[in-house]
Amino acid sequence: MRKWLLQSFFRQVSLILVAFSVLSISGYAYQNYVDLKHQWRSAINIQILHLTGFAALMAANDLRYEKYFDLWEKLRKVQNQAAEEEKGALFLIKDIVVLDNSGNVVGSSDPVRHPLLRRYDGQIPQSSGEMQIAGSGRVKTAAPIIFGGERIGSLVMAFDIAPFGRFLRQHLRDFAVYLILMTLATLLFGLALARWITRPLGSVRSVLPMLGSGQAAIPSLSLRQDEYGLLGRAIEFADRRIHESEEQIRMHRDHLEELVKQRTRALEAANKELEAFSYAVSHDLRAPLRAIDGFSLALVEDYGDKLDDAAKGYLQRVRGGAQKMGRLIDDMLQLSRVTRAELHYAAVDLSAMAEQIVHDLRAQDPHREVQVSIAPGLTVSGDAGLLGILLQNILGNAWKFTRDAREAHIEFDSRLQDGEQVFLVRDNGAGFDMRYVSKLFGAFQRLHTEDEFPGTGIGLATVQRVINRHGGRIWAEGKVEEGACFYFVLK
Amino acid sequence: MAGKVILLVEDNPDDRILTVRALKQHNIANVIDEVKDGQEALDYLFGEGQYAGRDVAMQPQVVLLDLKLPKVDGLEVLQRMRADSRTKRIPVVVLTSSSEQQDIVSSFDLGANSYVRKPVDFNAFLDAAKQLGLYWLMLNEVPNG
Ligand SMILES: Nc1ncnc2c1ncn2[C@@H]1O[C@H](COP(=O)(O)OP(=O)(O)OP(=O)(O)O)[C@@H](O)[C@H]1O
Ligand SMILES: [Mg+2]
Repeated sequence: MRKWLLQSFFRQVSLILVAFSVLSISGYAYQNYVDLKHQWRSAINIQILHLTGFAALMAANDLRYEKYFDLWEKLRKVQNQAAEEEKGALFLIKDIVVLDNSGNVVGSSDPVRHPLLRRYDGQIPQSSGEMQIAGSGRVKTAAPIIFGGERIGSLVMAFDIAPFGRFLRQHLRDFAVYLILMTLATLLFGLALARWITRPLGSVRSVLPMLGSGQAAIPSLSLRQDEYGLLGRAIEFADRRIHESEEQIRMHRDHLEELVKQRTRALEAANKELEAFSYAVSHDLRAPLRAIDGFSLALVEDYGDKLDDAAKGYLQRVRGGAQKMGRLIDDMLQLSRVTRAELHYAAVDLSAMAEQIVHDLRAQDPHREVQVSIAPGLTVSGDAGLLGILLQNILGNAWKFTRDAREAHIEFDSRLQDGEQVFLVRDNGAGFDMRYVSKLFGAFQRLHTEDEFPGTGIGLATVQRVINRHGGRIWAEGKVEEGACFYFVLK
Repeated sequence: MAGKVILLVEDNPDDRILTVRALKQHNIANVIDEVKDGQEALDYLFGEGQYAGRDVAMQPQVVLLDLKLPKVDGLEVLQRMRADSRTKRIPVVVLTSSSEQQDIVSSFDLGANSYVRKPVDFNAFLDAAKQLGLYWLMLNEVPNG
């Protein structure tokens, strides 16, 4: 029942309306009934007392002069007349008895019930009109009979007020019928009212799924002049607004897609250009360098005997410069190649790769004594070529910057941190100042001078790109003269 | 001597001079014929154009081929050489200016026998020659050991 009610606002409103009207109508009816009963009851009371008083007045003369027959005659007439009139009356005179001062019956409308000159056998209500109910539906009244200022007897009247009871019951029935009719009427009215109140809600609900379509129209609401009219117009307005902004978003999105396509095309073109450019660089830029280097060498070799040491030193510097530029070009090319290269994912054994790189480093630098420890079996999924470049640069750096360490040590390992496999390359070389750590991975950024350690500063920029291509992260820690540690994570 | 020719295909005069010098310095006594672009190389090999009338039965023992050449590039020269029965078997050593991986891969695909990075690292070149069985490279007697 509770659920049934809570599910529908219409039911709630109907219930409230119906309950309220039934309660108020029945309350009003009951009040009415009680009032009616009291009013009629006191009206009957007064009538009965008047009647009794009147009868006592009428009986006084006959009683004084002991005209008992006349008295009887009169009493009977009163009763009969009353009986004739009393079709539809609310009470009937049952009998009238006249008593003398000693309580003997001296007159009676019904001598069979109350024989003359006997003691009155019923109860006598207190005189001067007090009323007494005797049994069901019976009321007795008494009045003193006065003659010449002297009480000479009393008159007792018995009434049957059953018609009044019937009258009340009739009224009660009428009220019940009235109540039922009213309840039915209010039920119908309540339902209609509830429907009338809740119908706008229905039209609101039916239009809600259309919100944003730009088609939502609720004329049944929006054409009204009242608050529901405001609501309806607000909903229609909101619908149009949503529709328009969605349209706009769609337009922007389409436009964005177009823009992305354009940019992609531009990017592809730029990439092609870059490729052509780097090819040209690799080929054309190196040619003059080769000439500078080659002819300087030829000069030294072929005309060495005609040059003094200063001239040879200068030529040596010319060659050094040309070779350095050659390396720079190579490094730059590698940097751009790392960015462009297509990735071929495969399982890569980093440990084996590191072993090979260290082996090559040892071969190039046979006089260096470096202790290298490589954890075995470190494998990862990635592009073997790019990962080779990465390890080459990091291990190459470790190798280079441990040049002056007394007992050079390089370590390649991995550890689990926050569920990720973090690889690390640690050395005990020259280290660096953590203040400049942010510059480490920028192209051409170096933390050491050429005189201290040779290099172009492109290695770690390349490493960073390899990491980016693999969706990973790289960071470093270092301390001057104590060493450096590079950490990286690959996705 | 006429049969012991090395054909050098190189457009850059500096590189030509340096390569010839390096070969001479290593006492290679072969005749070195030089051509300046791909078209000239093809004319030379097939006895056409300015080389019309050259005896094409006399082919070089080895071709040192630059890849980036004017007119007809090195890869096309290589392709044409491998497609012609007269030049199919001539060893070709590709000269590259960088280790541009793609060039090296495609030249091997087209039938290059070896490659050497410029400027000619002569020890590498001699290694390559040995591997290719170019024992015929005529080394002059080194005057004093
Ligand atoms: N293991 C290390 N120990 C101390 N410093 C390092 C280490 N690795 C890198 N650095 C610092 O970071 C700088 C940038 O490194 P990067 O590898 O990019 O350049 P490089 O080694 O100087 O030159 P390149 O690698 O291009 O030849 C280095 O110059 C050096 O100052
Ligand atoms: Mg480096």
